[in-house]
Amino acid sequence: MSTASGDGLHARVRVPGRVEADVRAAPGEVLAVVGPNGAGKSSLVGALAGTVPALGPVRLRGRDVSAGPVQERRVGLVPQDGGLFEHLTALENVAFGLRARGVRRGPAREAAAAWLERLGVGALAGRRPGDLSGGQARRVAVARALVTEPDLLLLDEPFAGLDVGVAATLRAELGQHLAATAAAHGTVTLLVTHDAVDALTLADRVLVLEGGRVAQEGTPADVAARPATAHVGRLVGLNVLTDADAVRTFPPSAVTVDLTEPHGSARLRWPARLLGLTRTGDVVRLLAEVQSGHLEGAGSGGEGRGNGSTAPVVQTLLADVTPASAERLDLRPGSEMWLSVKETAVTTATMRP
Amino acid sequence: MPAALAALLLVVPVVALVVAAPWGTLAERLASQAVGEALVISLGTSLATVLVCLLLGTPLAWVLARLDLPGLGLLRALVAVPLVLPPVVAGVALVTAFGRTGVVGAPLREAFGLTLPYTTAGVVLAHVFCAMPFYVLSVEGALRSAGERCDAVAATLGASRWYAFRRVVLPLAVPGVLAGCVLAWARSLGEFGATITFAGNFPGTTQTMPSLVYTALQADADDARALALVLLAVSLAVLAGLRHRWLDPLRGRRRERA
Repeated sequence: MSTASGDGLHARVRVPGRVEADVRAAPGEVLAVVGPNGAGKSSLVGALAGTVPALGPVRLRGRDVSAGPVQERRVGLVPQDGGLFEHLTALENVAFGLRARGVRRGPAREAAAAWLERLGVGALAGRRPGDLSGGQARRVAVARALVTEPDLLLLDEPFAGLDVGVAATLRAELGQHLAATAAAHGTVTLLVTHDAVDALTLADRVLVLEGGRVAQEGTPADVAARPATAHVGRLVGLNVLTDADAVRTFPPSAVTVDLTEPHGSARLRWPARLLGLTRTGDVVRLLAEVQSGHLEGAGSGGEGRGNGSTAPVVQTLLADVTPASAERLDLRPGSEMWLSVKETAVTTATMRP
Repeated sequence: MPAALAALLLVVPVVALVVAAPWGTLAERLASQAVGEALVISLGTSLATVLVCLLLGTPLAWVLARLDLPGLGLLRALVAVPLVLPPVVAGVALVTAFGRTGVVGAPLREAFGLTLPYTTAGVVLAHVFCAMPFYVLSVEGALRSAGERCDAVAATLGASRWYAFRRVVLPLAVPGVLAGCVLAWARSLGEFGATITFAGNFPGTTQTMPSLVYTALQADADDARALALVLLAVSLAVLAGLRHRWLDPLRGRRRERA
């Protein structure tokens, strides 16, 4: 992207006991941060915003802002539910950042009105947050953050709690605004999300946090294709079996269902019990529980052998079958069956130490 | 049964007061000069108390709600002490500190010729001592619920602490500030023990309505009942006012939406 906008973001933040992460992003880049609850996502956002005490440099456009006051970081923060000031109108909320920086009332309100217009909520300028819908409030919150032209935009779960349709519309629009802001100002966006769709559609790169550390980093396609953590695997709709040293992922469509133990080369197989089944279009998705102690099927490599000594762990797997085979196998909750998957369909990622 | 007993215990004295009040001679009993003076002093000192609470108590509440300093827990506990202290004890403590020979009172008199005991200012001091904790704790709660997150967002938007306090934190805490004012005012209006101990009971300077009720009771019980009726009316008015303020209007609106 634009080389004139400098170095983008390079932070090595540490919030003791919470998160320790090296975060880099090129100017204009959108970086998605995913991870389970308690992985340190909020602490990372707080540390970058300067609202959570943290150690380590935060370099934005080449200057280390970690020592200075929050007010001078030039960071835009959109907290989970927008965090609008309830006593101010939408217009006053958006104008707030300009007024706080000494812009006169008239010009500040004009700029705020223009941004509300850009976000499609210009007609709601006079309303207070209590009278806005969830999606409208999120738009106002994004406008409030962008009006100050931040070097770094922090979006903490911007679509959480919204209706699916509202979220989809907002996601598409936000994508355009982020692209426009990136082009105009080189703003780096860090997007915390629980939704694979956000990461896959909005982000240039994905950073996976787990247990306060960076577990994986890469393009959305890379991370989705070879998830290094169980959380990301489930996020992208894959089966995930966690081992002591590896994470195996495979799509539900690669799983074969039999009533008796299948024979064949190079297959992983498990005796399983059906927990439930749902039909979506031409696919019946089965949810079954297996014991991971049975993970070593014929042809399984040596890496899984160590499991024999550990207690078997019950895990759940998804399997997609056709309605016809579901009928033929007479599947119903509680049914005993065998699940198997070709080894070639399994992606194995070695866990980071 | 115990519930009925409790209710009776609370209701009977008030009803008795209303029933036994000398309704026929109420107007002339309340028309005396002492009553007028006491009413003026009570209203004046209670309003002054609220003003002092606003000016000094608000910053203290902010410090307690927002700063993370060592010893703040202890400070909060000390602030709450006057809540549970018997008012007479508060009066003795005030005399010890601000009396003519007190720890602070003596140097104050020598340096500025300023004496607090047995003055109207002393009444205000006693009232502030007793009423401020109500105000501070009420406002502290409101400042907390106004949210540190709003503070954080305001800071990232470039707002200094003072700007954020003026434009965001305080406006969001307005219901709590109002509730605190009413509580402090009511406490001040009813304050008796600390006032009479520290400031005495001099008509025209330190005799408040409660002190006058006490004095009147020694001479003519019906006079005391007439005065008590006035204070009861004021208390009921406060209670009626609080019913609306007690419910945070902002939060109420947010819940409606959810």
